[in-house]
Amino acid sequence: MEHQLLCCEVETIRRAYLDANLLNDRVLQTMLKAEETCSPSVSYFKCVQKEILPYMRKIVATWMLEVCEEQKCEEEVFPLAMNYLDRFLSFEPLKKSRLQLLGATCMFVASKMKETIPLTAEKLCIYTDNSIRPDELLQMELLLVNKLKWNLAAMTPHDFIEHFLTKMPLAEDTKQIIRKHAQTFVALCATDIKFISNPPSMIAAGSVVAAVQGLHLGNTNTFLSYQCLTHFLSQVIKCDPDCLRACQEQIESLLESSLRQAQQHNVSSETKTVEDEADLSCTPTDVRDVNI
Amino acid sequence: MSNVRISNGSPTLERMEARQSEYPKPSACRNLFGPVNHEELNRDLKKHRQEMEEACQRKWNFDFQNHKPLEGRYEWQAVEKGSSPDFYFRPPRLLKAVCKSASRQSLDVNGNCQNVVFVGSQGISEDTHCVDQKTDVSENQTDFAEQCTGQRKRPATDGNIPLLKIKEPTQQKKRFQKTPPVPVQWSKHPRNQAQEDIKRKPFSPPRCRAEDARVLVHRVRQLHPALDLGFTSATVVV
Repeated sequence: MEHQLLCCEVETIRRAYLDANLLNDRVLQTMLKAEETCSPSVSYFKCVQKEILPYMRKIVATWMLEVCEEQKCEEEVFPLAMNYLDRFLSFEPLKKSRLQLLGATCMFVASKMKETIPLTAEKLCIYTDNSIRPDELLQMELLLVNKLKWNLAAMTPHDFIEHFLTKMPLAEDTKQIIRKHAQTFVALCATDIKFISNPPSMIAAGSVVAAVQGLHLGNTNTFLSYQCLTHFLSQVIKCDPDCLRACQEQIESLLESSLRQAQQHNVSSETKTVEDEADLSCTPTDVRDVNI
Repeated sequence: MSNVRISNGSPTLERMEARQSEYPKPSACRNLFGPVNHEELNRDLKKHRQEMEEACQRKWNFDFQNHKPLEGRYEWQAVEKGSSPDFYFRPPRLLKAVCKSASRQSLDVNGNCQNVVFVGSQGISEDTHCVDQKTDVSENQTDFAEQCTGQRKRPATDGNIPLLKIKEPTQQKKRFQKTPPVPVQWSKHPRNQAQEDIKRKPFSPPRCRAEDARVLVHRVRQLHPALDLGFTSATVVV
């Protein structure tokens, strides 16, 4: 390589601080109730859709994650978009050729809900290789929000992760690394149809346990030991500890199979491979960089 | 420019970089499920849109396309501009922000600014919600926004359009039976003439008791261009 310019001026994103007044039990209880109202139907492939099959959801989800990643969307955008997608498909039979349009529309709306500078319609159309047009996307948006009855502020696992971390007696940097890893698991779960029946709180708890396990944090901190943590989190979300463990194991096996596939794929892009290998050595961090 | 590398220093756990304005990488730009039949798609989307428009028209007995009230559950009345707080009239602040923000005309398509405000009779009170947060979409007035759509790019003259007040007389019906409401005359061009109508007729105060009254104000700006809402706001007295 010859000379390269190194640009250190990076525009940083502006975020609001988390409101400590909203991270309390009252809010958490409300969230646990509210998550039921925004859940998709588990059996829509069988009952509603004629053309669309589970593997197609995986394809569109993988593409959506890739777009969200490349556009540096906020972490919640992707799971929220998948929630919209599943809920729409729970009501409306859709043609296969329009699934990508729906996926793009879901990202469009989710991005508006969660970001200060949302994704533009044109950009999303470019990502579909211009197979859809911006005006179609806007029309689809209207249809989508109508079918969702404007009920767009659905819970995401990310909302719950913040509550869990607030309750955990840990140092801030430990929390930060758990958060990061758990968020990666959440994104991974959103791509997989098996997790559609799990409420966001369960995905969140399972992801936190899987993150702590993967980081081997339980060895040094008794609170983070497997038994202790699963017991604690299952009480927070009011579920059976065994269900939580099952969910966490499911997440780990999904991760494993995704990584195996990724290795077979042998990711070609320059920077990505380096990051992946570094992560794989100890714990799988950025699964999202892996080409699933 | 291809040599410029953007450094984020040491990798952070939190994503802090702002969105890049660059064009998408070709790798992620792909058509997943074959070509889209645009003609058919547009036909279907149009059909859906018409269904939504009809549902909206039925629900509010208001012809949004021609800006005319219809017979039905609600009684629509023009109200004087000054009788509502000014934020129902003033042009959206967003427009300025959009102009300032570094990028581009694309925000036109992107924007879709959707503003829905519900206000209690006391003006802005705890009744003010954003529709996004609504979870209750059952049979009450809060699902107003559910199917209403409006023009987003409003002309600058919008501020001059009077509010429409609609009454839902279902509950207080008996009380009002003896004094039938004076029908409002709707001109063919309500946009221009409604103001004059109001000047001729003095504004009649709401006929239900103040504590009963809940004022619902709806400010909708476009989600799609086909619906031409002549009005910007509607006030509901229930």
